[in-house]
Amino acid sequence: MALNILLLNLKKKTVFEIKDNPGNRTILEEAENEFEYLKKMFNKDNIATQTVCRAYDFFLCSAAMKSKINADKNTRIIILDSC
Amino acid sequence: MFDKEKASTLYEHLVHPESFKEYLRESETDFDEINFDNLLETVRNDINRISAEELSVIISFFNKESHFHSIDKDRATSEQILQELYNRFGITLLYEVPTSTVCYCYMFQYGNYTHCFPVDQKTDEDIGITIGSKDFLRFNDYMILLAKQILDSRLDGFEYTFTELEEKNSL
Repeated sequence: MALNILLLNLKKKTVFEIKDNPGNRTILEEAENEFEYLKKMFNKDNIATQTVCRAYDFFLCSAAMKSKINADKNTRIIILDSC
Repeated sequence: MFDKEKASTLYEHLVHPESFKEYLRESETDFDEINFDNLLETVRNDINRISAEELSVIISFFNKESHFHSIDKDRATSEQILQELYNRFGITLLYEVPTSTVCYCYMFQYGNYTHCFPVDQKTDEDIGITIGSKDFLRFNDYMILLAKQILDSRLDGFEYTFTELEEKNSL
């Protein structure tokens, strides 16, 4: 399945990434750490619960963005707050 | 995100006729930090250097234009005109977060990520954040990994499968 292949490549890449951040973690490790927190807070904290319930949307939209952005051509991204 | 070549034609659109300048003058209180000439120069040379506030004013102007051209028509027409303006001038809306709660969830994760992994970013207070694409893509990888773990765990009680169309749109 195409999405699983994408994920497999992503894990390979992030596992071997240099740990050059204050927490001394890879992106995968940080995602796992955050997942444990969300699991613990699910149904206890509204933001954690909503994040879990919206994971499907986050996953598909983030995968779509990954394929659209060409970092050499589109050098900057703007996140606008219109809430 | 932006297409530099397409966006350079936005310069002509904003400078002729003078409606954009007029719009800026009318909205002075909302966009008091915007310098018209600087904004036009940025658009002409490399729109990637635009600030969140400058983009915000251009989008507001596009909204006004699409509304003006679709008076007495339905909302879909207005949306279509707006999309045409984005396409024509090389501005891609990558992801419109649907509600303020979801927006808060997404930005909470962004805050969490940037706390652990420092990024090249510039913040315009209450307006938005400009971030280098390479850094954004790493954050985006983090979101993919996190969301996939949540889906695999079936925490919310659902089992998710992806339709062919969703797979196609994602890759």
